[in-house]
Amino acid sequence: MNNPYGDLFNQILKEKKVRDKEILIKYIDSIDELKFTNILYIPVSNSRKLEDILVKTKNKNILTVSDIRGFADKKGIVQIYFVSQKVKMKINLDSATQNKLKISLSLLRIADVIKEDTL
Amino acid sequence: MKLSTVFLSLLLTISLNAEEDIFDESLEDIFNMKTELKADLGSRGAAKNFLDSNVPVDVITFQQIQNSGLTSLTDILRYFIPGFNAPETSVADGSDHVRAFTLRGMSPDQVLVLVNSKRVHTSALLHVNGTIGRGSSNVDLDTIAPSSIQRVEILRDGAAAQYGSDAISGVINIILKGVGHKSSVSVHGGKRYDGDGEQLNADSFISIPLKYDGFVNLTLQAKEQKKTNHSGDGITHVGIPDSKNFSAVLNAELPQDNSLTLYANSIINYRDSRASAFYREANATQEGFLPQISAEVLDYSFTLGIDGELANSIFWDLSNVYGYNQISYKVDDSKNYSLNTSSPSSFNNGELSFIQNTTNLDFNKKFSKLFLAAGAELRYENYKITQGEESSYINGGSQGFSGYTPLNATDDSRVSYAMYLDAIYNFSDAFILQGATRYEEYSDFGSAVNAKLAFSYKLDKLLLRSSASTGFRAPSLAQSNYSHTSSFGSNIEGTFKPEDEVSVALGAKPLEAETSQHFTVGGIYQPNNHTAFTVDYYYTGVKDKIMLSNEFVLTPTQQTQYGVDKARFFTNAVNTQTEGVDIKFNYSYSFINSSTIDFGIWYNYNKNRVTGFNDSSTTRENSFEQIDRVENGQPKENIKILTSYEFKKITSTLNINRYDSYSQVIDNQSYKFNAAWTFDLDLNYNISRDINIALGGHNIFNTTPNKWDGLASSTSHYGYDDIKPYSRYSPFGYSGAYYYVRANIKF
Repeated sequence: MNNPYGDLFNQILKEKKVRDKEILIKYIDSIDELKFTNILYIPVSNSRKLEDILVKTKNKNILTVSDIRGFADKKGIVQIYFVSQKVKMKINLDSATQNKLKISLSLLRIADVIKEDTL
Repeated sequence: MKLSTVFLSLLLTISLNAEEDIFDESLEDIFNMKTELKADLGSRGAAKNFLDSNVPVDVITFQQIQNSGLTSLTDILRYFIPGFNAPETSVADGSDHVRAFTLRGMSPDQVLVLVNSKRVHTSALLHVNGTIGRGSSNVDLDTIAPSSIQRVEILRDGAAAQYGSDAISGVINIILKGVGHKSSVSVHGGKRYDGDGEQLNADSFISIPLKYDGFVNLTLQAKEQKKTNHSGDGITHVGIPDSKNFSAVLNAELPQDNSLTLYANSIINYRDSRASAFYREANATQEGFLPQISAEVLDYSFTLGIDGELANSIFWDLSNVYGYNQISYKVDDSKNYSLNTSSPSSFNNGELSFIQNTTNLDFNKKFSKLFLAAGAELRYENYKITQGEESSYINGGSQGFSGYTPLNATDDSRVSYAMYLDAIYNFSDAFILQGATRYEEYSDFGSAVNAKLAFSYKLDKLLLRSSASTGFRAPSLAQSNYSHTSSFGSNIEGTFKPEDEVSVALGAKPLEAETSQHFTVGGIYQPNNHTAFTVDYYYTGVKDKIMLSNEFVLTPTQQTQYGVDKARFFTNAVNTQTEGVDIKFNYSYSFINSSTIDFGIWYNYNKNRVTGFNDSSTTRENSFEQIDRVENGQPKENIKILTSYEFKKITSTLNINRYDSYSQVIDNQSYKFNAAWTFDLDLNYNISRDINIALGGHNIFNTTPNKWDGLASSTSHYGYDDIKPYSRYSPFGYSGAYYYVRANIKF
């Protein structure tokens, strides 16, 4: 499996809960293996498959997150990137709306937001 | 807990190695946290945490650069890096205008400099006076506007097996600002304690974001530096030269909607610098005068490249870098004595230029535990000396600096090819082994094969690392082809090419490449996320180091035969050994009251020794000054204590330096200069999020080096004690304290 993070996610999220629900992490090799998830994190190593992944997650109520360059411009929802030693976030609001997701205002306030009229 | 906090925490944890309480932080606080500091140098894979590197790497960030209050990259590296030395020399012709720098006390040309990981051309200037760096050319670091820089990475290890010729004492990689930086303008003004040396610097950084995280960044810098003067006679100019400096830096990346990215950068610099020679005494027929030597430096480089990913996850990168440096000499307020009253007072003394064009094609691929990189390089170089006007060189030439003669004029080119293979194998998460080999062939001297082996092993909080490698440095075209001769009556004297019959008669042989062996061993201990101790021992042996010989007086028979009185030439003179240790302690902590402290103590001990002499043209006896400069001309110890404290709207930065003693030889007698402490302070106040002002000073307590001890007073205006009271080797100059104010606006 092409997993650059090993068991790190499992270790970090052990016993962590979101709204009293446990967090379950699954690793998949191919987007065809995806059944249901709230968040799909796409590592950089999948950049060539990105178009296919985003087509298959469209309209499925999945929050796509990645640090692939240009991810938000390429219709991903949340892109993480680094400027020097600070983390920054870019959100494609149209993609979020298309996937029927609402992004909280507090998150939008600290992120760079991409909307149709900004592209 | 919110979903957004969870996934952000997740991604940040990967970069931060943060403690578990990151989940309790607010989103704002998470975005304000510093992620790990990464560096490209050391391996050809993706940038990695510099504290996980299997070789010693230092990183200077743009925030540190800004808070240093410095406007010259040479000074910035001297400020932050123990063992990086860049004296401010004067009355040394071209060396006054292009500052030499050394790493670990080795030659300036034994440091490879990269911009965005691509090789940078050196200056056309060859340091030929008695300064630190004599006999070598270096990259002119002051062509690069500091405000264009995102970070500077310094690899303190031999790396010729990875990067090719010159990477003997280390590699400096200057990473230009990329995506996400705000546009800004800043102004800086200041002067010396003595009221001279005024500096005015203005720069602007404009960033235009493009689709897919592309960008076009343009930095402009204009700087005027007035001279300082610490001469003993009040007539000669001994200090920093008058100079005007204009720089433009373009950096752009244009990612496409496929995997391709087009990239380009360009650095353009123009400098007009003016310093003096020694005062020429009045005599019965004419008044005395102080010749002014002007150097106009024009430097530019253009990089164009494209990178992408093939279907089988092979990444490739094709690039071309064209670099050019030109120095035009002029001498004003001078005379050519042989022309008597018809002598002009201003002279065009000729021009030096250097072209370097480098084409690279690189591939890399990551397998499960193996990372492989391979590539090829084609490099073209051209070195040219253009003669000056006749009045500048005829019969002794213009006083202060004679022009280049038709015999000195040269136009020489060469081509080199290289292929490399770089592999990293992760035996486990803890044990990583790296191997590299590089073959290089030069059209003018032959070929070289070099190799490197390095490993790192992580034991909980301790990282052990070691590397061994071989390296080489091809003789520069300047060293092989430089000559500068002056005629005195019927005979001439000066610097001759190694192949010139005069040099051959004195024992010169065709130049060969310097070869080197390197070994480092050390480790990093990180007891927690705030603290890191680093210790690295290093050894570098250099065989056939190229030096400029002493000046030899030819025998009467030779003088008659060649019409030459005195001559010097470049030769593979000596073998050297460099060994030392770097010890560092770094502490970084964010307090509950939102203040943060970054504290570091860095110590470098470095010893250079000449261990062998290759022929009779250079011996310890006949070249005492040259050998002593290599062994004792620079501090053996350097301590830096760097503290940066940030609280609410105020950031204070204090840098305490201790430079060990050093010595300089005059007339075969060694004179010692004492160790000294200097203090730099910067106080920065953020008026708002995007506007800040600062005041500060360098060497704030006005430390000056001690003067010559026991050197006889000069009886003329040519000499040391009374004229040049301080050694030109002083690692912190002799112009005293400098105080400044600056303001920066982001938009």
